[in-house]
Amino acid sequence: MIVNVGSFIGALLALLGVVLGTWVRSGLGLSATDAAAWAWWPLLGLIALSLLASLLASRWAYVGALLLGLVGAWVALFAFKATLSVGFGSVPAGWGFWCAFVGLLLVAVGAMVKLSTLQGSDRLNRVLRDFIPPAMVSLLLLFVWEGVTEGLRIPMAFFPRVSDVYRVLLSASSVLVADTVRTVFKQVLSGYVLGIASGVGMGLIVAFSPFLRRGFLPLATAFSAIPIVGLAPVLGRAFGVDWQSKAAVAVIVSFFPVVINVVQGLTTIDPLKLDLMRAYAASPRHVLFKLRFPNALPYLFNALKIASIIVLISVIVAEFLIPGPPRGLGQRISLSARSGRYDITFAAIAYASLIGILFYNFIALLERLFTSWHSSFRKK
Amino acid sequence: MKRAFQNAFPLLVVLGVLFVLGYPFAFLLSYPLAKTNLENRDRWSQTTFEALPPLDLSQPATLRFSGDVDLEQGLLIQDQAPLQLPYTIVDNVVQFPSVAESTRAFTLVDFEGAIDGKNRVFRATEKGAGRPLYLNGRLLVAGHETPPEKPDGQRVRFSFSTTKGVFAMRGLLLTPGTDYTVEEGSLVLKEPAPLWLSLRTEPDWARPMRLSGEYVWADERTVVLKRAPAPGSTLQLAHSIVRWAQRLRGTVDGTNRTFSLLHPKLVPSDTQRRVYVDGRPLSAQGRPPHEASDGTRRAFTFPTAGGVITLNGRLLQRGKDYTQKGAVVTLSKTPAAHSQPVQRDYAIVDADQSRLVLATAPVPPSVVWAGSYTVYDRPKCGNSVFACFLSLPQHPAPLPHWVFTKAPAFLTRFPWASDRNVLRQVVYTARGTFVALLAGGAVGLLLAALFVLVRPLERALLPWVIASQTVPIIALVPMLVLILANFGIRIQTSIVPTAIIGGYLSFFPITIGAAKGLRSAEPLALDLMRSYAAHKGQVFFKLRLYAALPFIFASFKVGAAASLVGALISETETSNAKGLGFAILGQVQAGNVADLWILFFISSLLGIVFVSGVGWVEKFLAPWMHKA
Repeated sequence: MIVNVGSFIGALLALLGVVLGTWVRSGLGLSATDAAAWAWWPLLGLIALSLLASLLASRWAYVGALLLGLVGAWVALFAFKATLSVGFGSVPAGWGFWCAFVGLLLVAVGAMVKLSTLQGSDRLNRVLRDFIPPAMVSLLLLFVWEGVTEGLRIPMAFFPRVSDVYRVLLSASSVLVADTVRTVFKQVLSGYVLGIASGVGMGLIVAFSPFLRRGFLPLATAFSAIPIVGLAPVLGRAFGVDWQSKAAVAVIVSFFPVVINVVQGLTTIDPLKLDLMRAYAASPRHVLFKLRFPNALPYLFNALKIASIIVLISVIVAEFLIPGPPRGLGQRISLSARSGRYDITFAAIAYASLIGILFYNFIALLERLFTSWHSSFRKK
Repeated sequence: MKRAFQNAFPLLVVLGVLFVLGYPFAFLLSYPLAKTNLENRDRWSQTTFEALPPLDLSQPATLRFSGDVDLEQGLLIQDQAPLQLPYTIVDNVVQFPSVAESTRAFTLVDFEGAIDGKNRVFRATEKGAGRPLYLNGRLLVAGHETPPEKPDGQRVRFSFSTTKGVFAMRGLLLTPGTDYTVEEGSLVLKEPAPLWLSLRTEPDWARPMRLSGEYVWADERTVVLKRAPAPGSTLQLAHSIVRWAQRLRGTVDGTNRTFSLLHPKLVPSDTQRRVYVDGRPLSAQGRPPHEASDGTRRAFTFPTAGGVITLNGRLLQRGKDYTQKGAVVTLSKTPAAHSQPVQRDYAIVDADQSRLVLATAPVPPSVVWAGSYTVYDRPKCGNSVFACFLSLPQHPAPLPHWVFTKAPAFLTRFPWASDRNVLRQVVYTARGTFVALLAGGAVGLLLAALFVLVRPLERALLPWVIASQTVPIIALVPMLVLILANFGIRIQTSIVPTAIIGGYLSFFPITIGAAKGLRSAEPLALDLMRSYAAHKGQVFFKLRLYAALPFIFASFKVGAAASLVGALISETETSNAKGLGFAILGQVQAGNVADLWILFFISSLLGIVFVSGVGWVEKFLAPWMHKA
């Protein structure tokens, strides 16, 4: 009885590719391709084990199939990369490689689907179900990226390989870290802090004046549609091409979400709670500190999270649009993309993403600390 | 009516306040630029003081010079040396004891060319450009204006401050009608001005020139006069003539070496500066040593034994900073590599006071005088920060009323049929935004539905969806261009990149909002559906989708703004000339700030239109949501 249909079909496909298919386009099969023949037996073995694993109904069989599929795809990739050195440098892959590669990834995907639908709530099951598949999807995407760019022999000036990006991440890390530090600490953080401080101040003023609420809020929404592509050069002219102009961009993009959210948080208050405060004969000061401010906190943190993402991206775009001293992530991305070094571009983007996600999660952590009483954090 | 007014009134008041605040805001943003223009000497105008030729040669026994100099502060020179004839200065007029001796002081060269009351072009028998010119013994005032455009072998149009007057080029007088015509305030030549091959030393006469004085040198030997001299006049070029030169202040006593020029704020880098002791010129340029400074060497050999030594422009004290033995100078401190010890005839000790230190103290009766030197005059922009602010060619932010006064002309600059018509560009960008919103909406809703229906997929893909928003899409545009070109799409005119970039930016809020909305069905309602034995699809379409509508519309409003930004970015980066983004880029590059801010207002208006458009669709599709 076949338990894991996806893995089973994948393994058969891989077997077909390895045994019958041509490894490089209009060339020979795997066993007859000099540089790659070493992979013949390992691949056959991995495929046979995958077939076996797909027949077993056990969580360990799923984990095994997952690993077998990934390792097999890895071996197939290497066996194809090895043909580079023997005169097939620009020849794309033949159907045999594609069958083997896709088949082995299918083995992994099938196993992953099985893992993610595990029933039962013991601890191991929960770990396998909740943490393995998300991690594996990331890995699979990287595999597909590497496989497609390698298999089609896409030149780096067109789209880089994962391995190229990885090499740059290793060899140029000191430069990229210096860029990141400059972008994040000098430009993003200074602008973010200033933007939030002034945003909270403006929010307080607007929230307690109904007149301004009607007059200012619509404009705040309109202002967010002013394109940064036009605004950044203007600020560059006013503040110079060094870090100050980019910090100014950061101030502007973080200011408006904060204003809007603070106003909303301070004004949308459950009337019942206000009545309760009145029943307690609370002074306006008490209403402010015990009700309005706590009520505004979740809104404020929501704005801080939104701003943390857009502020980073805006500063990077601003570095694009205000070419200044050639330091900083945006400058690195811009310069490398212009000279066709997409491996550096992607490495810098990886740093930007990483910082963005860390930044976002840091704010989320603060939110958890300061508003742990809020309903969205309560255990279900 | 009253209600509408009550709603609009605060908005109008705030707009008015912002309008007024726009003035200090514009000033604030421009302040650093204005201050730099005021204080940076590089942006000051310069004045060159040269030895002056006499105004009038008709009375050889007396010489008058330009009225605004005090002749007592200078001396007469001839051929780069003090004049050896006796003279006295009475009432700011030079008087020679006898006529015979003073006439010897002038050598005048005559011109070729008929003086017939019509001819205005004369040719000197030797190189004359730059030398004074006399008509009937009266000094003529030179002066010309050159256009900002450079001849490139093809250009025929040159702009001048006025097109009235006399024009000349390359030794020729230009005749209106046959050589040039005047169009829209510029000079249009019949034949393109030839390219001057040596770009570095292009003289003024390689370009068309307008006479602003009485004459102009149209090439090295040819002079063009504004008015034809009457028959019988004499036109003479002064070959060797007495001039009046400024004396340097400072006592000549054999020990004093410090002298200062009459006018302060010397331009330190001026290589044309000429300072003389009697007939001996002092070089403005320094003499480098034979050896290069390599970070270890301290002794340097200079061409001569004299001179003062400067290091990186700073004057060194003899005995303290260096010792000298013949031509060999030994510094007390080892200079850094690539620093430049230089030997000079004199060094500037204080450029602001125009104070110099000579290498050797002149002994009486020598005179120290200046043949020519250049000083900073005043800021070109004006005398105050405010004047400099007003005169900025490119303000970072415009004065608010500019936006209104310039809007009509800007909006109607191009006819409706042209691709560069602003309204047409607005329509084009709106179309791109709409397509991008549709694309982003479709992807976003699909992902949200997948996330809700297949729970593991959400855990796997959500981190990637968030990470996608930290990727600066603008960085990937060049790659997008390559890939799309590979599929045969002409990137500059296609709407595909707009759809991709705008969709990329807008799918995120829609995915998040819609997923949250699809989950927000009330548990009671879900239980009801279960009790009806509804299957998954029915629950989705009959319950979840309706529960999600408020969230979906809210996130579409956010997505609409994101699509607009994406469309503008894509038009900028792909140079799609039909769109608003390209127009913004053009105004940024041209520095038309008022026009740029008009475009800002237009794009934020477009954003408001899109957001309220989504609200309108919401009212139409889900009217029950607005009943409460």
